[in-house]
Amino acid sequence: MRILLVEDEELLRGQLLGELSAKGYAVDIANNGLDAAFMGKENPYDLAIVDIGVPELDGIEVIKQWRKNEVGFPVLILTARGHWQDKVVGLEAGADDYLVKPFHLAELMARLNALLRRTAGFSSAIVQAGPLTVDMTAKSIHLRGEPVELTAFEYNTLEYLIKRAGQAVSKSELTEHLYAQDFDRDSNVIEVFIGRLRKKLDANGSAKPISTLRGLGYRFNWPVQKTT
Amino acid sequence: MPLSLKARVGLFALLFPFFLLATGWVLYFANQKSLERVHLERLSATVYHLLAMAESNNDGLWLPKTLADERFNQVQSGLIALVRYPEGAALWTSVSALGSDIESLRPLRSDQPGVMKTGWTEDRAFLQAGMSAKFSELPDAPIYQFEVLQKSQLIREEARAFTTTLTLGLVIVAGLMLVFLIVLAYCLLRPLQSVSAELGRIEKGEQSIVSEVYPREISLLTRALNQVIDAERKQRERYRHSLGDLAHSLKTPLAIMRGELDQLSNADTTATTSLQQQLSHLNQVVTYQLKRASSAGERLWLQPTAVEPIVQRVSNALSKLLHHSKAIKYQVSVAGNVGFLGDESDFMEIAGNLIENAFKYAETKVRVSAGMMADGLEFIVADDGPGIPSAHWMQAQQRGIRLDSRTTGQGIGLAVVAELVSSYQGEITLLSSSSAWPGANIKVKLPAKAMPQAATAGQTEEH
Repeated sequence: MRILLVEDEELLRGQLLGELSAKGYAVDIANNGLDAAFMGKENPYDLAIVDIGVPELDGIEVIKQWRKNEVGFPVLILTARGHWQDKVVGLEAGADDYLVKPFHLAELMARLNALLRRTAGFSSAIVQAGPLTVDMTAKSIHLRGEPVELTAFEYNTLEYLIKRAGQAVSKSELTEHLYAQDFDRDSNVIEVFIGRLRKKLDANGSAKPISTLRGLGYRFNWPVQKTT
Repeated sequence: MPLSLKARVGLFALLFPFFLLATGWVLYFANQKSLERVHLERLSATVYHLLAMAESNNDGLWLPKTLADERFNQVQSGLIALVRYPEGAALWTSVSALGSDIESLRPLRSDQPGVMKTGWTEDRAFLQAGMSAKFSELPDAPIYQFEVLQKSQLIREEARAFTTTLTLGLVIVAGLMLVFLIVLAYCLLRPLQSVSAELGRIEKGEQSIVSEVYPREISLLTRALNQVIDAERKQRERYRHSLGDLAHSLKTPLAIMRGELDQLSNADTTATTSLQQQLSHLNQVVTYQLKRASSAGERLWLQPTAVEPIVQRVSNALSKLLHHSKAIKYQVSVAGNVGFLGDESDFMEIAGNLIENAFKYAETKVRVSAGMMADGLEFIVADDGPGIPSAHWMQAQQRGIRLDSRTTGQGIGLAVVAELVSSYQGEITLLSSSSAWPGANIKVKLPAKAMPQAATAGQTEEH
């Protein structure tokens, strides 16, 4: 999942970047509102975390510009005041959730996951995909009741494919959503992750959870239940 | 307390009759003096006329029987001419003297012949003019006394006629002046009354500034008033912005500290736990005080804020935030004319906190209603959750107290609501639960003013 983090305070930005990267998210940084407005319009993010009090262009204005330009990714706002008016104004501008400073990193991650899940149309954090059970909060999977160990990047690749189950997902789309701006786009790392996932989910190669569509990309084949 | 302008004008109007009386008195006496002088001059002229008519011969002095002025020829006309011998006895009298006791009147003698003497008789019954005259140069030639008298009644009648005219004139002037004073007072006081009415409307929140269509003298005042109102609004805005900046400046370092502690707390030492607690406490104090400080509270120059759109906006925001959680039947019934006489953000804070709490604790349903009562607006939020025991009600309104740890939050929502309600001299009450609404049933009373539109709106939503 690729996230745009809009935060001007260096230390807080560093903390959030560290936490999000550790959870396997690809994070792009914007230090001010103008950069954020531009980056949001130009890149296909899965979510943005926006501090309202960023310089040059206020966070609320940034969100308004995105929505005006039909940028639809979910937005989580970070606000210092936490007044209802600020929340309402933020949500009316197009934000999807808010978090009042100071917050626990765990709470931020929970809100972020819930937003991503809701945007993908999942009402529950536990998703059943054929024999696979995915816990989107714990970021863990069980295959036929048995836990399967995945790295953060492997998990994110699988989650992205599950959210688009039955659809062709190109390699470039996967790259754009799973890796930050400075990632080497020519790398064959996606192929490597897909290969590893196939081995972990389908050791004998009979169930074929992920197909390769020549010239189109990949497709997750197991049926996914969006509601539980 | 200083006298009102109307009272001042009224007082002046009360003094006006005294002014007119004084004027009348002065005019009356001036007229009396003038009449007296005019009549004496006339009598003196008649004396000269009489002197010119007199002819002296060897038999003595001769005068015609009748005079040109008919009044001398009419009995008891009040105008008498007479000539006396030097010793005082009457030598000649006009026909008009018949029946009058001329002899009893003291002659008006002048020491020197040819000198006119005038004045009142002793009993002030006559005004008289007299002159001594000698018709021969001989030393023993007799000195005759020529006199003309006029009854004072004639002068009094003239004076009475003048007094009547004067009184009538003064009454008319008084009436006209009264009308003039009323018109003047109306013209002068009208702009002031208009300013006063506008200030009243501003105070009630019906308008925001004083209009500037006033006479120059008053427009200086209204302009200054508008500047004060504008300055107060700008000051309030600046204050809120400053609080926003302050919140950002305080909360961001707190967020960094919490983040650092979150990472350290993996070690789960006593020190990090203690620091987390202190940080939570610090955050609670900062949050509470910032919310408290940013409340506008009751103030002058307040405009009513429509309650219905605020509840709608809060409901929309909550539907965005809570649609993923449990299914709650949400009923909203807010009359369109309900207006809160206070700041929009304050009502939003009250409504937001109460409705959010209701959603947090409700099992299946939440109801929000608002209506205009005789003593203000009534805003009620009810849910079917576990409710608040009345014994814990006061405690729940205190900062940092959370009665249930099932949901996230800092535990200052109800305290902030109580503080805001109190700042508007309102009331917050925990109503007793009913079978339909067994949970918390909180009623807030706030100052209100009906919004212009009288239409009522009600709606039911489900989440």
